[in-house]
Amino acid sequence: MNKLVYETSGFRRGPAMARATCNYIREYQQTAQYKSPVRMKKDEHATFMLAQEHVEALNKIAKTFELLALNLERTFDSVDFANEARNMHTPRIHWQDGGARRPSRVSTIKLNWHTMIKDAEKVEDILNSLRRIGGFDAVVQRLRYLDTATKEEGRAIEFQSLQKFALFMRDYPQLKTPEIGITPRGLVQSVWRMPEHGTVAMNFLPSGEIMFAMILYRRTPGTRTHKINGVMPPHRVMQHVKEFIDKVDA
Amino acid sequence: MMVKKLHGADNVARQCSPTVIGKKGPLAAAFELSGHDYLSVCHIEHFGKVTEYDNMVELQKEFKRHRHIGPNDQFAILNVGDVVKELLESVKLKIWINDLEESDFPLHSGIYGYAEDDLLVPIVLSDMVVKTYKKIT
Repeated sequence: MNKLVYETSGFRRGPAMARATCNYIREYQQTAQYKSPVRMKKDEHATFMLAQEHVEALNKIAKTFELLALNLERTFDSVDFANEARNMHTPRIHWQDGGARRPSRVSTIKLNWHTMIKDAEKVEDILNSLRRIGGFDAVVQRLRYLDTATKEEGRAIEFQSLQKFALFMRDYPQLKTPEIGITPRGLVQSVWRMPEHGTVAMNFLPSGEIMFAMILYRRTPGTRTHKINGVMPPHRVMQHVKEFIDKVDA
Repeated sequence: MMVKKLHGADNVARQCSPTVIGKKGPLAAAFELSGHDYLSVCHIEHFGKVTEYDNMVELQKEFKRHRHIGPNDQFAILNVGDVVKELLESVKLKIWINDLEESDFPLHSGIYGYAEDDLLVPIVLSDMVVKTYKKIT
């Protein structure tokens, strides 16, 4: 399933629109059982992803933009989202503000990192994609080292596990950088730990699910250690472990 | 093959390659099972030296006769009693550590009692590492 990244901008004077868009997309995702992150950057941009198949959502979003623009006393040049989706372009959203038409600052075709990682054929392709997304320098450096080290040990990183890990990092860019290792089966393992407090470990399975475990030690007499483990899709795992990970020192 | 349980005061060392060592020490991956029903470790007190360091020197000498030690490998030290107690308390799991008494590799021991797809036990073991030794030349 291809995914498309849409960016809307030009919200400098209308951050409410970006927020409303994010809320709308989240609402849609809940009903459509389609999970992917929605982000806002500095109250100006709303970034969201939708599957190409979700054409009806694209048209609803276009309608939403029109209504929002009306509320903000602006006009919105409707974009044929569905057509843009077919052409694999990032929609360009134009505003008419005070009679002077100004183009969106998103004027170039954005690379679709999800597709690039999914279509990768070599470890290096995945690492390059992560590097170009930005913010993953330490992760890329560690993965490059692990790739070399596992080869020196006469084994290899399970390619699909690496792919799923890269997609996970791309989907949760705000996560603290994990410690990364390779399991005996060649799976990528990410670990977050707070000495004396607890640890979370995730093994990225080729299927896209995550085998994970979290343990929270309780050293006070009369209290019990909390633990949870299982195999789940990434978004379900995150529901259980995100609060802990957010507290870990990078 | 005679099998003997290690005592609580004993310590064992697990060889860890750099692919299973993170910034804060050995990761859970270092303690995941693979292909055996036990985790391969070495009994540190087997040589009966006075200090742990001296025991580790002998251990690595003997280890090299059987397995390759990479230049960046480390040996993670676990105390048998502490590990057994912690796993019983926190995971409610009873594990045991046997000295396998293999005639050609006498310090070779195994941690038994958990499964290959168990990630909780490897996490606890990685959290219980007392210290690590680098390769001693």
